[in-house]
Formats: sequence, structure tokens, C-alpha cells
Amino acid sequence: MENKELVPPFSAETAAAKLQLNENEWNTSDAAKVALLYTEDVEWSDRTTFLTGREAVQNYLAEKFAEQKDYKIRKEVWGAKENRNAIRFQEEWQDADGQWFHSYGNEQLEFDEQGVIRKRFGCISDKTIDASAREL
Amino acid sequence: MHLHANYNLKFFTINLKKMKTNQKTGLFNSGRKISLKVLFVIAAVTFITSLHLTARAQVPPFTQESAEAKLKINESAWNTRDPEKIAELYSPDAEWRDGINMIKGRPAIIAFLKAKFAKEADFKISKEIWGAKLAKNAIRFEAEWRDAKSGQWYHSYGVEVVLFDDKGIIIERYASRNDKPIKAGERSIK
Repeated sequence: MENKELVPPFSAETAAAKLQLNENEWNTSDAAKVALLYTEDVEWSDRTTFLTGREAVQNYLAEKFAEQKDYKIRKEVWGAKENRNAIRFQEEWQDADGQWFHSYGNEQLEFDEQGVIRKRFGCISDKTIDASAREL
Repeated sequence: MHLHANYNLKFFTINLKKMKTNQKTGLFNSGRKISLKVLFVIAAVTFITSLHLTARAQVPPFTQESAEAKLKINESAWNTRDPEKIAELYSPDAEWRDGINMIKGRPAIIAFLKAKFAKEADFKISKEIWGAKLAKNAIRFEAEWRDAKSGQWYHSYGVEVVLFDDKGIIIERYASRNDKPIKAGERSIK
């Protein structure tokens, strides 16, 4: 199914299918593409940064992907109900000094009727790892 | 679930009425002060017990309302900063991820929380339900605390997901949190 066909109310299956498409976009490290997952006026947070609007999200992500090289993410649905999803994810990336990180995070999403994310709150914890300890 | 609390409140009201009657009639005057104290203690104990029973009685499958009631008890336990008390919210073999720390079992949770509260002085947390379905809850939280060494205050934003067993005890909990340094005057969690 295409992303625009996957709309609320979600079942575990439709949420998982939609999240796979979301994960694919994030794995492009293309801020403009990822930003399209969110509404024009999205309420969005990542760590301690709180933003409003797709444009602000795109700018934030452009910086994120510039800082986090070789970025890779894997997401899974924790729960899905009506128009809300809870998601767990893990990321791996390296900083400008070549230090690798394995990050653990949770995010909570709320979708509009068209299946576009209008609220996203994400928290992430970073663990330094050796390059050989990468799993993703 | 709420029946316990209602029943106890009624019990308390009836006893107060009785006491008023006793005051008017002058009966049992000698024991009045003592009985007031005793009744207050009994009422308080039964009320607290009923809250505890209420928490226990909130079992899956959750509605938004039952999840919220249960989370209130969870938040209160966290705000005691008492590791033993908090650990009781989780099963003896509970699986935790807190930040980048993987923790398994109540003794490990208690040890982790002791270290946490030693570092995070004046810890205060406010939690809200994002979603609840069957045995799973998604929660957003904000916390404020002061670094015990440096004195720096922080406002933290977090997301946690939890899984309950059929008795309403948490068997899995995965949480991430990000900390923003703030001035003492910027604290917003009462």
C-alpha cells in the first residue's frame, strides 16, 4: 500500500506498513524528503528542540544529517491506536571526528485524516561505540 | 476500582456525622479527642490503602481513563524518589532501558535509581498518557532536577513506553530523555 492510502484509524499492521515507509525516508538522509512526512504546520520535537512547521523541521534535519554521517535508523511500532502511534527506534551514525554512536530512542506520532504526521515528539539517548560494534 | 475510595469516603462521612451527634448529646465526651484521632488515622489508612488497591485494580486492557489513573499512581511513586517504592511498580524480572542503560530485575532497578537520585537532586516529574491500548502504554514526561555536584538545574523531556502483565505490573519499560540546562527561576514543574 502507498503511504497516502495508510490513514487512521491504524491497526498494528497498517501502522507497521506505514512506519516501514517512514523508516525508508529517514534512511535516505534527505531532509527535504523526510520533511514531507509531516504536515505544513507540524508540531515537532527532537531531543530538547521544539519546532513548528515543515520548513523548520527540514532545516533542523539538514543540520542533523550533516553532523551525523553514515546515518542509519531502524524503527518499530510499539503501539498504534486510532490516529496515534508509539515507536521505538535505534540509530547508528558517526560524528565529524569519526566517533561512532548507537542511539536508542522513542517517538510518539499523531496523524491527520490524510495520514500525514501533525505531531511528533522524539527523545534519543546516544551511546559511543567502536566501528566494529555497529549492528544496523 | 473507585468503589473502594467511595466506600471509604462514605465511611469517613458517617463517622464524622456520628461524632457530631455525640458532641451535641454530650455522650462519650471523655473519649472524644481520642476517637477523633483514631478515626482520622483509620480514615487516612483506609484511603491510602484504597489508592493502592486502585492502582492494583487497574489492569489491562487499558482505556485512556484507566491508564491515566494508573499513571497518576506511578508519577506519585516516582516523586517520592524512593527507589524501593518505585521498584514495586515493576515486576521482579522487569526489563528496562533507561537512556543507554539496560537494566534487568528489581534489585538492579533499585541500584540504578539510588545512583540516579544521588546525582539528580530535588528530582520532580510530571507524566502524561500519549496512548493506551491493551497492555501497552505510551507516556510523555517532563522532569526537573539539580545536578548534585555542579548545582546546575535541568528541565528534561522524555518519552517512555511500558508493557504490563495481566496483574497490572510493568514488565517492560523503555525510556529516553533529553536534558536542557535551565536557571533555577525557570523551573515550571510544581
